[in-house]
Formats: sequence, structure tokens, C-alpha cells
Amino acid sequence: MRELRGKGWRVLGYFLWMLGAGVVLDSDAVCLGGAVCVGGAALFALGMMQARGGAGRMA
Amino acid sequence: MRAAFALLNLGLILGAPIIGMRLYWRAHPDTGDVKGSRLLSSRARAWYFSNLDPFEALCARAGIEPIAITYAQVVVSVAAALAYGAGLIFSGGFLILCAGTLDILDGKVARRVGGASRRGAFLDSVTDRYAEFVGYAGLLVFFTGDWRTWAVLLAVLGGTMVSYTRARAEGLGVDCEIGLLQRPERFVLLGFGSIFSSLATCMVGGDQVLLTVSIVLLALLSNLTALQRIAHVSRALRGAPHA
Repeated sequence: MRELRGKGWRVLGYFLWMLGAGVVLDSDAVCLGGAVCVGGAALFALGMMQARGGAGRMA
Repeated sequence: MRAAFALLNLGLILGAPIIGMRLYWRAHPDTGDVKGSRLLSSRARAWYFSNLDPFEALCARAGIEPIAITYAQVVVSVAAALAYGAGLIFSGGFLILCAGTLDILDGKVARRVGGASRRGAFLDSVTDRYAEFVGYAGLLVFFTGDWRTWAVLLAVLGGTMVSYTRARAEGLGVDCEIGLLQRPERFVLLGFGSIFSSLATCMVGGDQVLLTVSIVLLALLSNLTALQRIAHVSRALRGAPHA
């Protein structure tokens, strides 16, 4: 999974957030949708941290 | 509560790509050989393609066949149709965007692993037609008994004619990759149209106004694109020898 480092996790996080938002907005499963959104946000944050780490090493 | 969540999503779904595009364009002012159109610039396409680079590398390393991604696109389109049919407009739009993304990814993986064959191109084209129709079928179910059914039918006709005119023209040796509303633009219009329509309905009410606008635009512009292509091929073949 090292190919996903940085940008890959950010994109996956964005899509996962949208999936969770769809569950929240389209159904009554608010807790499930919220949990998926939190997972997406966590992946996005992981991608951001990896990208910053990579930039730091390059500098 | 739901309206506030919709507003938060409106900001995030619009904001993240805008920030991402600006950062990408600053670092990559040249779009290389990526072609653009009037509605979707080469810079926007280059940014979106770059987002798929990690997944392209992952699929290539994992040995995932491009045709498997093409078939996955059909499965996701069926899921989008089921979502639309059940009235889950945000999820339907999200799944349409996923299907469009898989459509781009299969071509990228095929080129990367050197498997961009004529068979693959043929299977990709025909499964794309099924996938596109399936998405509209869900909207037909959603809009049953409504005037918008006719708009969806016109959009189906337009989408099919856009593809058919290009296939027929290329069969006659004429390049025909022109027009306002090609496949990526149709994905974006329907996908984001559904998502923003659902958000707007949550925030201010209404009967999926933005989705209606998207469908009407799809119906008009895809048929206009087909007519543009017919005129282009007709001009190119004027004076050509009889078949």
C-alpha cells in the first residue's frame, strides 16, 4: 500500500467522506454515516501528514 | 441538524478540489498531452488524472487487469441506478462519480502495464454504453410519471448518439473527438448535479431542482454535441469517394 502514500490516502479519505455523507443525508443511519465520515477525515489527515513529512525530508 | 451537515459538505466537497487544483497548477503549470474541452479544461483534467496516479501504481503492482476495473465500473453503475431508483440522490451522484473515476483508471492501468489492446478498447467502449444507460435507468425509475422522464430519455439518446457518431466516423477514418459534452463532462454534470441537488434540497427544500437542471442540460447539450459531430464528419467527408 506504499503507493497510496500522501495523495492516495487523501483521495481515498475524500471519497470515504462523501460515502459517509451520502449515508447521513440519504438515510436514517446517521451514526454509521458519521463513523464513515470520521474514517474518511482520518485518512485525509494521514495523507496530509505523510505529504508534509515527505516535503520535510526533501527539504 | 441535517441542513447544517449539508452546508458543511457543500464547503468541503467544493473547497477540497479547489484548493487541490490550485496547489497542483502552481506546481505543474504544464498539462502535457492532456486534452481539454470548453467545459472541462486540460488543467482540470490533468489535476484529476494526477489524483489517480497512486491507484494506477497500486493496481499495476497488484496485477489487477484493466478489464476487471471496467467490469467494476458496471457494478458501481448498477449500484448508482439502485440508489437513484430508491431516491438516494446524493449516493447515486457519488456512485456515478466513482464509476467515472473507474472509467479513467482502467485506461491508465492498461497503458501502464502495456495492455492497451484493441480487444480491451472494444470491451471498454461497449461496457461504457451499458454502464451509462444503467445510471440513467435509475433516474427513469426515480422520475416515473413526471415530465423529467422525457428529459432523461433525451439524455440517453444524446449520450448514445455522441458515442455512435464518433464510432461510425472513426470507422470511416475521420477523427471525431469534438463537442461540448463528451463522456467526462457527462459524468461531472450528472454526478455533481445530483450531489449538489441533494445538498440544496436538505438546506432549502424543493424537488431536486439542481438535478432537474443537470438532466435538462444533459439532454440538450449531449444532443447538441451529437449534431456538432454529425456536421463535422459531414464536412470532412464532402467530396470523399463513394463507399
